[in-house]
Amino acid sequence: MDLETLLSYEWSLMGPEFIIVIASVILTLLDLFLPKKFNRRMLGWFAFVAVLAAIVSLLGLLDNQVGSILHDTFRLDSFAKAFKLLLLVGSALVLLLAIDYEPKEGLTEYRGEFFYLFLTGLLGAMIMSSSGDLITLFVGLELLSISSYILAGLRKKNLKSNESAMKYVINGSISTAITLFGMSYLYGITGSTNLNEMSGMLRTLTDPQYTYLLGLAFFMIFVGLAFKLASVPFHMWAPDVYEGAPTPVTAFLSVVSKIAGFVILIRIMVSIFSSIPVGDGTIPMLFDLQDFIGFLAAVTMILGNVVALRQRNIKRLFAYSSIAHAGYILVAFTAMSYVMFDSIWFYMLAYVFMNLGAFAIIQLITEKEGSEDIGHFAGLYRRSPILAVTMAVFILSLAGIPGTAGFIGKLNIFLGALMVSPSHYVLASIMIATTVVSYFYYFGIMTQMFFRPAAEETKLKLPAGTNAVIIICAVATILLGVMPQLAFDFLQTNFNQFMDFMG
Amino acid sequence: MTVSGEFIAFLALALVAIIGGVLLLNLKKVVHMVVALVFTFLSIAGIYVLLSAEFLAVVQILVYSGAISIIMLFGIMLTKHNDEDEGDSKGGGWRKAFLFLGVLAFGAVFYIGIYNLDFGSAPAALHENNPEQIGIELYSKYVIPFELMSVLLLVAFVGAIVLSRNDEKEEADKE
Amino acid sequence: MVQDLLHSSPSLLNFGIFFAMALAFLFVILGFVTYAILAERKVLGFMQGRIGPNHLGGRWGLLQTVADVLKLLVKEDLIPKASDRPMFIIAPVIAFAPAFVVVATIPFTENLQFADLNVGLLYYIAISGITIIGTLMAAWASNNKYSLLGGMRATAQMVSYEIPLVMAGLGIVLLTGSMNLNDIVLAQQESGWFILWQPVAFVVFFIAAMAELYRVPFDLAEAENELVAGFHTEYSGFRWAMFMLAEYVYMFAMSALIIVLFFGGWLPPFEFLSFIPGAVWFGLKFAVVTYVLYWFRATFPRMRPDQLMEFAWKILLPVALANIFLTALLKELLNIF
Repeated sequence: MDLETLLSYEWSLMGPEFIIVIASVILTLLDLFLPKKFNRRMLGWFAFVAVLAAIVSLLGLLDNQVGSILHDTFRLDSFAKAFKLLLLVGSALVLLLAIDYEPKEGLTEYRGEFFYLFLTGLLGAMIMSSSGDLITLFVGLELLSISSYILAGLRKKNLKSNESAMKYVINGSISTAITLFGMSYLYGITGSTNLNEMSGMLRTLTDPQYTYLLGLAFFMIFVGLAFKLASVPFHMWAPDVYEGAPTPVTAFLSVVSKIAGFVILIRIMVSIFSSIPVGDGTIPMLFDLQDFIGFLAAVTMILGNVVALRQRNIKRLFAYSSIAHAGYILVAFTAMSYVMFDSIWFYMLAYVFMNLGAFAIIQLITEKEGSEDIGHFAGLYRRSPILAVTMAVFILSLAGIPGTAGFIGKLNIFLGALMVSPSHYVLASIMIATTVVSYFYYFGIMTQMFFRPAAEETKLKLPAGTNAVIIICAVATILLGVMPQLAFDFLQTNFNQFMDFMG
Repeated sequence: MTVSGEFIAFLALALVAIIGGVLLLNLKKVVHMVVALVFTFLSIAGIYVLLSAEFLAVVQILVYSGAISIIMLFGIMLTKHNDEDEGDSKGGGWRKAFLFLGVLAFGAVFYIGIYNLDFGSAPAALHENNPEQIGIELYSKYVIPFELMSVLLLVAFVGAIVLSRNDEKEEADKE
Repeated sequence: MVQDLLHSSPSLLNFGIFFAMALAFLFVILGFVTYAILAERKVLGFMQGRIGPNHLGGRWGLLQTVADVLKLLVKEDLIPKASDRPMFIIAPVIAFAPAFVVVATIPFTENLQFADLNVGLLYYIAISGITIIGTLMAAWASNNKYSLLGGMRATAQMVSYEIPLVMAGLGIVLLTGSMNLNDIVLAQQESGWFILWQPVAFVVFFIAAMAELYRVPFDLAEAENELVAGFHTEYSGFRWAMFMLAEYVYMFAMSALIIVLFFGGWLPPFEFLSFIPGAVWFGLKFAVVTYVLYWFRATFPRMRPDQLMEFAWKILLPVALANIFLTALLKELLNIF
């Protein structure tokens, strides 16, 4: 292949990715050559602008038809666009938080590194969302993972941070190895890494021996990717890593990394395993194994919500809460209703806003107090009524109370689980039961904020970036709760039911 | 199955690879473990040669036994290395039994899958210039993941420096 | 030939044939080593105004090395008490085996080559890397700080100099479009020896090769006066002999590789001289290259460890990279190859 064929591809499709790569390279160089005294916070603003530019560039691409470069190693379909948008919005919000982050130890000298490692992690996530080739997907997965391992360990003087980075690396590499082992079977049987070619080839397979192996591959890939989702069986890293990592990194892991995990899971599962005929050839394998996914979803929900009840550390509590939310989204994935994409997308959108809003407030308070005990939320209403009210909004939304985005998201998933036949009554009822359980710990925070006396009466100072995050998230959470059709209309007009996911 | 030189070579290599892996888990001294690991790496490279993937075999030796295990050995020798694995005192027996059963089940599940699996006839022209073919694929079809790998390596590089750099000295200078 | 072995039915006869061939080859190499050591001592003697070995085996001291080896073999087998016994025993083997294995891929003449590999050049470099592990193990197992220091130095040096070595070799790979050592020799038939086309690469390669061989001026790993012989301080008898042997076999292999890459292998320098068989040409070139190695040993001072690393990373590597870049340009613009 010569230069002309290489240039003949529509590289403009990769605009957002190019912006992020170039920004991270420029940041690397700036960090190297700028004088020591220069405030590295400016680099954060630069990264923020880059992410905004990427969002703009992505919005410009919304009208494009499905485009692919070099045999689908890069593929921009509506699925990719929709979820990339979420990733970028989430990252922009996390960056605003990171700019205001003033930890007690470490990270001051590595602020520059933080921002460009953050961008490369984001790049990995974006690649995971828009590729139709196992190799590219895997490289994206690794890029995200390795960047976040380092981000988690950036507070070098903090033992908890060290521990979290170590646990994250070990768990992460084991899960990656498992995923890769599963993928190797897919490649071995189909002889291709292109998802489309693979699904075409698998449609014609009838040999039960192959089906058996593909089933094994399914389990391995699912279990391996569960790590990124922080769902059972690879959930145990989440509390320790969330607790030890710097708060913005925790926010990044709980939102951006999780979305990326779901994106790659859906991409691989739906495009490959839904085209493998099982048994008499009428049901695809993915549907045949629904019980398995449903079981994992149920265990994830139960475990996340029940263990969260006992947590006193706010970051650990949110870790378990995020495990539970992964379980909810897995319910939608299990049901495979025709609104699956829409409901998952909407839930994630809601999750981005409510979770990041909550993390903004958590960061503010833990940083002020130097400890992550829930007790520090006591009397927040007296100290800063606005903060307490917005936090209440986020918590209500996470708990799924009507009038908030979280409620609509849950409702969608719930209806999706019931609208398919046979309906998933058990799963739906577990979802309701665990949601009720979650009220206990969510409302525990509320009681602290509104009904307990404050230990001290000092007012809280709000940095500009955090302020912006809190306002945006609160407004979005309520707006999406009251008028969800805004988001759904956006989905309908721009993404056309994700019809171009396959082929 | 006909017994050919290839088959015998495969058996020998596979045996060494597995023994290396088992020794890695069972030896007490860290340095010994790494050496056992080196044997596993080498015999895997040998298996690649049997599969006509010479380039991969050479890269495996260069990267794994050449670079990675040397770095591990350096890391062990330059840090506190006298700790010996003390082994589990309580409940070790049950845990080991469960682990062993798990491994056995895993092996059995895959054995059932692979045994009797018919992949059709193997392609004949596997040897022909595999470095060249890998190069062509890498620089034409897989340019995007290839370039992403460079970002990935950069990240790993920066990360290694950030996490391992000794800051104590700089702070002492400041004070 | 390896292919034949793998695909033939595994009768004892076949096995015997291959085993015998390998054994014969081993003895050829041992013979080389015997006389290489003698030659080195003679050359050193000549350069230092001495005579060198001249008692055993006639005026030339032809049996001197044989006697030395015999002495080593009958020496008591000493294993220090505080050493890490299994590693101490296995280390010399790991250090020596790759030295012998790399020789398999080198084409001495058109017909005399054991394995015609597509990745010959890389194969050499990869396999020779395994020796580092043996060295490091020996250093560690001896439980002696000088040994460990020497082993660490040796490893750092080997790893660092491997990179310029490969990068210099890449220039030639670019020109021939193959890593097969046979193809590389044949390519020189038309275009002339690669030392003419790749002088920079030759210089870098030669320096890096010296470092890989731990020869003066890069013999820091076993610097006698500061490290008491480095990683093999605690070794004696036939175990020590194996390290020595590995070193000289590498010298044999590396000289042969340099000839193959830069001096046209078995090819005669001019077409009209082609009536002389290739083996003779190879032997002649070989004698010259090894002589240069001895010459360096007699005349160069040793480098300092800190300079050693800087030299590899800050001088050799950039030069080698620039050479690759230039070669690519040359190839693209001139279209000779």
